[in-house]
Amino acid sequence: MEMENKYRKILFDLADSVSMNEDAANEYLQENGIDINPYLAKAMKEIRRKEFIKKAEENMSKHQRLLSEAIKIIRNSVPDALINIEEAIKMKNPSFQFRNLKELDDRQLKEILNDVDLIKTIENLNKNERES
Amino acid sequence: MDENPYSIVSDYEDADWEKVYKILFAFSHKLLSQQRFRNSGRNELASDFAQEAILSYLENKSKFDPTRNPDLILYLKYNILQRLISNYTKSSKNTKVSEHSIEELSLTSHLIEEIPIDESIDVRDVVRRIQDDIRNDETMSIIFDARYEENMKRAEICELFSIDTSKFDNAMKRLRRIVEKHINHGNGKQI
Repeated sequence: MEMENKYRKILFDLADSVSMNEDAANEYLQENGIDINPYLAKAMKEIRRKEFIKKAEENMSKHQRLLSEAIKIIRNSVPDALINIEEAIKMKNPSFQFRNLKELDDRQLKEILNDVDLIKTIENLNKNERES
Repeated sequence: MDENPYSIVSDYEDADWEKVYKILFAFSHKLLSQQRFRNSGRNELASDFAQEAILSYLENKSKFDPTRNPDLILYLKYNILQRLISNYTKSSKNTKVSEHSIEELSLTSHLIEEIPIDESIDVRDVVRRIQDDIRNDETMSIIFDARYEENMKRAEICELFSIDTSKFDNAMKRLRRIVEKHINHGNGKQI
């Protein structure tokens, strides 16, 4: 077993050396007559797809967090602090008439907030809250 | 040829996956040098492992902890990829290799024990022939013993035996050529 492990370590070092960097890998592939391009093209398609999906998931998750944060701030704000943000929402979505943001339920708030720049909205909400 | 190991220690979002894939492909391909892999789809297997290692990282980026070891290449090679290969080779025994921390990723790692080797290879004979071949070269002999008997790293060997790093690298290159020759001979054909 000891000798086998020594052999494995030697083998591992060899694998490490042929994959030390791109040049070493290319040289190894060439020596072994391997055309990497078809494999690479197929793999890159999957990798790009995965990156796209994960990015979309991250964005969705971030958007949901921001929505929750905005709703929480609206719920806890004094009425005066909401005036500016109500005006901003009206400008973005003039067709939507609302009485008071605080009177809307979470679903309605989410619908409105989906149309605005959430980061800017939260900044405004925080700013207005401090000034009130 | 560039002699510096490729590493990714920052800006992980901008990783050059084409380059990383080639490196992981070569690493897997070399580790899959057993006869049974050579006979069927070794290239495809190496490709699958390289691709799966990257996809696995992308799926669970939070498992990579740069504060423990910042090099993403080391993480992909010695953690994800080696685990995938181990799982694959053990699948016939219906056993599964668990994940390992970055600290385990050295030649002392028990993952080393899971690297597949052909039963037909007379391992003792191959190692003996390598040792016979390097017997008259003091630097190679020191490196061989320190690395494969004592699991020492490059920096440790250089410091303990007062070997200049360039001398170490040259000796290591010569050693690899000898090792390759005897392993190929042991396998009965070029790998």
